[in-house]
Amino acid sequence: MSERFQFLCIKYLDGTLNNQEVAELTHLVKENTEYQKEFVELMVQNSAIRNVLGSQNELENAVKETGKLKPFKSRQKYKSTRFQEQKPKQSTWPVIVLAAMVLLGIAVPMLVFKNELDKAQQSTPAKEIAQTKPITKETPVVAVLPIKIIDVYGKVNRIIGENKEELVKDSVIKVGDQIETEFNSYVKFQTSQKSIIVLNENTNMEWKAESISLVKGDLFADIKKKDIRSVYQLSTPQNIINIVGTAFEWSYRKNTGSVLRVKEGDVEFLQNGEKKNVRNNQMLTSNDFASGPVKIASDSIARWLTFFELFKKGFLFYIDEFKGDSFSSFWTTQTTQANNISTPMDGLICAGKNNKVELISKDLVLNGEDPLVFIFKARSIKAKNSFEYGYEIWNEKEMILHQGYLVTQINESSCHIKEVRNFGLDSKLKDEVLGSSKIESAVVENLPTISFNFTLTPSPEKVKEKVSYQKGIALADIQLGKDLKVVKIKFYVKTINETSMAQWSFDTFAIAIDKESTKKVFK
Amino acid sequence: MSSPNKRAEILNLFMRNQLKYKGYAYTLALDWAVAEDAVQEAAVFICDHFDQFELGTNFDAWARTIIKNRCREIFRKEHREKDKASKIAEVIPEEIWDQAENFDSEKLRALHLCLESLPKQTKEVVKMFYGESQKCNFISQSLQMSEEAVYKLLSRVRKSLKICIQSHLKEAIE
Repeated sequence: MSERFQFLCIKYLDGTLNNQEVAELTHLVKENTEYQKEFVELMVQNSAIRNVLGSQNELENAVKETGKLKPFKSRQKYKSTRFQEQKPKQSTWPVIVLAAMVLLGIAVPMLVFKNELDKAQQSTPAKEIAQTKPITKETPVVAVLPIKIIDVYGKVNRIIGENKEELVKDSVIKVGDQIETEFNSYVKFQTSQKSIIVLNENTNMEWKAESISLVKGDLFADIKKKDIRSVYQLSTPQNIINIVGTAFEWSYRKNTGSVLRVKEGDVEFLQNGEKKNVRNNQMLTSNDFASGPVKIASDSIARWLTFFELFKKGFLFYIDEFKGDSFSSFWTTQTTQANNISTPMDGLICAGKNNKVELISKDLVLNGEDPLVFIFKARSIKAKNSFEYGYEIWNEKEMILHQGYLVTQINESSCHIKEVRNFGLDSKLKDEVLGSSKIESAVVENLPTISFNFTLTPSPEKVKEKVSYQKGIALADIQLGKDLKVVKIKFYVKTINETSMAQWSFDTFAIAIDKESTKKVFK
Repeated sequence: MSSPNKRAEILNLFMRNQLKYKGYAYTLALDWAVAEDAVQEAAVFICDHFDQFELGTNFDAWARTIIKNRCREIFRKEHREKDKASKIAEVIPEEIWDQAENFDSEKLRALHLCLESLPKQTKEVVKMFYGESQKCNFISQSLQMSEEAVYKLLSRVRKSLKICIQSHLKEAIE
């Protein structure tokens, strides 16, 4: 059998054949019966080796144990929900995390940070602790590299000077690589010992010779038993942590500082020479270090891993939690007054007579056949005097749906509310179907919060027109069978009098393909 | 033959050949996770629809058709596109798959012994490539070898394992 054929077969199994090699191997196999036999034999042998080296055969065991066949847990499902599978295990091996926390006290830009951090690492007591008290008998060095990307969604870049190289599955990461994930983008790395590190969207980190430097964003790590001798050192512009095996989420943002959420393990968290332990399902932040760790729900740790999973499956198209990084890439702001503002953290802020501030989404071009489910949850609105707030859905230049509240304050504690709604040209959605809108009273602190959950479809025949509409909390569950082409969403706040003021902040906005998926993106 | 017996016989037939079916599924999916899922789902399907198979006809062909449909269904559900290399499977005639020899328990035991006897580095490469599904590029960097050397080593191992297995089986007969 030719060496070339053997070589191509191994590349085939490796999944690295290029187009030319595919054509060459196809030709060889097609023309020669011996090659065909050899190829099939190789596939069976490959399967057998995997069987011997891999985990025990579930199929065989299931039959042996039960005497009959039963539905199996899909490996595909297992793969894609591996994050949910990380239930606390009965750990028999010592898990020690030494977190040396040092507050520099100054928020510094990323480029400046590198130097600052290096200086801080050389001079701070925390670094001293990390260096003089190695957790294991072995020298604390990062033995995790090389590491490769095993899963990626969206755009993930390796930053080389001022240039960016887009990374794909199977890219190998080396010492010195600076990696960034863009908005709605995620990446999962794996070491040779199967330890996993996942980066959330808008994260920036650097693999240094002796540390992993988290410049901003969120990182989830599941360090395996086999990597126990490898000490992972992680840092943020504020803090440094050394880790020897555990599952945890480590986040850093300028405004919130460092946050450590431990899913599994016992973590020693040090700050200015003081030590606190963080254990399973606990969280400790650099800002609240003095108060100590707090208990958290297991599913609140690295919740964004669910988004990664939904994106990968094609169930989720967009999610915005209004944390700041993504704001300008999806939304634009329109305002009648320069002092009326729209920010990711504070939402829409509007004041003064006849003023309006709008948050307008990108154009959503709908060419596919699948319906899109939009879901939105706002926080409470803080306001005074007369104002209006709500949202509008536009299809090209036509407004197809508008829902909002017009509020008039009567005194310090109460107000009148009138619901404003307009369902464009769709006759079935007119007031006579929904009932007329009446003026209602409410206390000022208890203004209705708008949430919506509706489906838009470009193929009217696919969705039977359905209207279910609930007043009060302003929950609209509306399926519109319209011929939609370019859809835009606007959130707005309007103030009416000189002394009017309104601030409306948002929680989550997502676009998915079904309601089940949208449910998963909410806390 | 009564239904429970027929079901058991068909299921056993499928079980005995499952490594061959996994190899077949891999050529269609080029993804072991999908291949293994497809074989599992095919087993469940066969268990539920064993009446559709007529004993004495070509079981292999029937099982492969079910596996092929399972693979297609998984790809459809996950909105996945076929890999360009999957067209290699299309040029292999069905009778070649019919003739392919499966790994029975004796042969698997021999394979196990042969894998155990591999030199340390070779064993490591084989373990990473087959056992952990690591790419050659990653293996080469992890073990500080050239990628070319990894390909060559794996080609050689394949041949040497074949000879080793045959020798063990021969010994067992003698």
